[in-house]
Amino acid sequence: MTLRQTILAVAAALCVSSVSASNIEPRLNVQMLESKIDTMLIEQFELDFALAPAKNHQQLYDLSGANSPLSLLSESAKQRFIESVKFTDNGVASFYLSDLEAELTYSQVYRVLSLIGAQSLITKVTGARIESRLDAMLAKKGQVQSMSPIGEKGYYCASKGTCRQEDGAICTKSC
Amino acid sequence: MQRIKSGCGYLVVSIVFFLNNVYACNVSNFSLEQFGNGVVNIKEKYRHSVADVVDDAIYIDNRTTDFQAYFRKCLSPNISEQWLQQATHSQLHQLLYLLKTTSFYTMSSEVNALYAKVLEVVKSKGLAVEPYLDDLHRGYVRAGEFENALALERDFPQAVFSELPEIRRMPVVGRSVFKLDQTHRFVKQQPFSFPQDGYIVVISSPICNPCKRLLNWLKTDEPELGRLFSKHSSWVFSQNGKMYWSALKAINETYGFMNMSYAVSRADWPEVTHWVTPTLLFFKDGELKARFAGWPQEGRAKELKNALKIIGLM
Repeated sequence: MTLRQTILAVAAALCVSSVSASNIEPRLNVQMLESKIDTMLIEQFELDFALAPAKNHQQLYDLSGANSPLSLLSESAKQRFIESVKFTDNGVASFYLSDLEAELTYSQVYRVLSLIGAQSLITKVTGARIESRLDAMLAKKGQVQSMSPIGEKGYYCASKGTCRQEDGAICTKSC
Repeated sequence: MQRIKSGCGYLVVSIVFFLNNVYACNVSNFSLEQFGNGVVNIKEKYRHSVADVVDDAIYIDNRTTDFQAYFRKCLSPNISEQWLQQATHSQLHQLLYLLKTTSFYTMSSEVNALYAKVLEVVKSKGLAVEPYLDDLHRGYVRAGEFENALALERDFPQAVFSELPEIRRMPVVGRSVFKLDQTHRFVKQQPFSFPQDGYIVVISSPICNPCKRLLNWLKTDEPELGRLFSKHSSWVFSQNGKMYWSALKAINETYGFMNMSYAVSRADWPEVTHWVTPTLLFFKDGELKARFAGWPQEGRAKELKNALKIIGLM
């Protein structure tokens, strides 16, 4: 059971116990709660991008030097990742995760995603290396929150408003 | 003019040479690295050509056949029992990773069979199989091998797999879809046929944000069009390893004016040249008359209304 499902199950139980008093349909309350959680996650995604250090390719290239988490990637993987990132005014629309998963630990992936304000999509990462307690904590996030209103894995933003099935990619709500 | 012609000829030869060499492999000196490079090459080939192609049929998405051909030519003949027994843990891990990608694009039982065989070897060597089980499960689901996916669930009750609804297959000739039962407890295979007059097929997905944008627009901004869609459209989701069962039920409940179904086979939809979401296909008496893909923030109301006029729905 995911964290979201657990929260919703508890909320549903609370709704059922108070339904006679409030006369509100329990399922409606669960939907409202779910919608509120989605809104919060979307707002967080927008906030993360607004505060992200890289909002275009030039800035991302400038941040790929020796002290950057991007420098932990092989040269070809770094190039592929940077080129895959699609920036829009509303946030990152798409990028490829597969190279990050193949070459980095979870916390390193988180640091790379933070550069483009996409760190909340750490929940979509699978198969990255676990070398510390922090890595293990981040890996767990994906297990408890598999669905996300922000973006889904296995799709790439092929053009404006168009998601295409693509292994290891993410198509976000900004597409 | 002659120079232009010979230049064009050179270009064509170069393209053909490039395309042939995307799949080049040295069968006598096989290595996983070599196969991995080929996988990257095929992905890159389509990655660069996708940007400006979605709206027309000039570009054809041949990733399925390309990956299938590459698998058959370069990987399958080289993975012998002896190779598997001699492989290190790291090589087996790398092989499974490459098979996962190959399965994603081929949706093939053949790839799944090799994946399962490699997992048997992993198990026989006393190594953990759990990290790979969900990928095999997804491989089975995307190839329509639901019985194998269920068997895997039974064999590994502790493992976490993506949701799979109860699927009831029926003997159907021609196009069909897996339609959600009214009780929302299972899906059932049903024939699909085009009604007379205008009809819209929307290739979509319950987790696709641009699709939700289109649905919201139909529900909130253009309720009259929403009603038209409720009578004259089918929303089809071509799953790729994940059925998104809860999301599909939720979206059908939220947007009551449409009923999203699962495509049984992509081969049922020859009109779809790019499986991108959303793709809107406009039919008149079963014949494709117009199509476009994508629903950006600003919408595509004008194109949609023009297409509806072409098929006589406006």
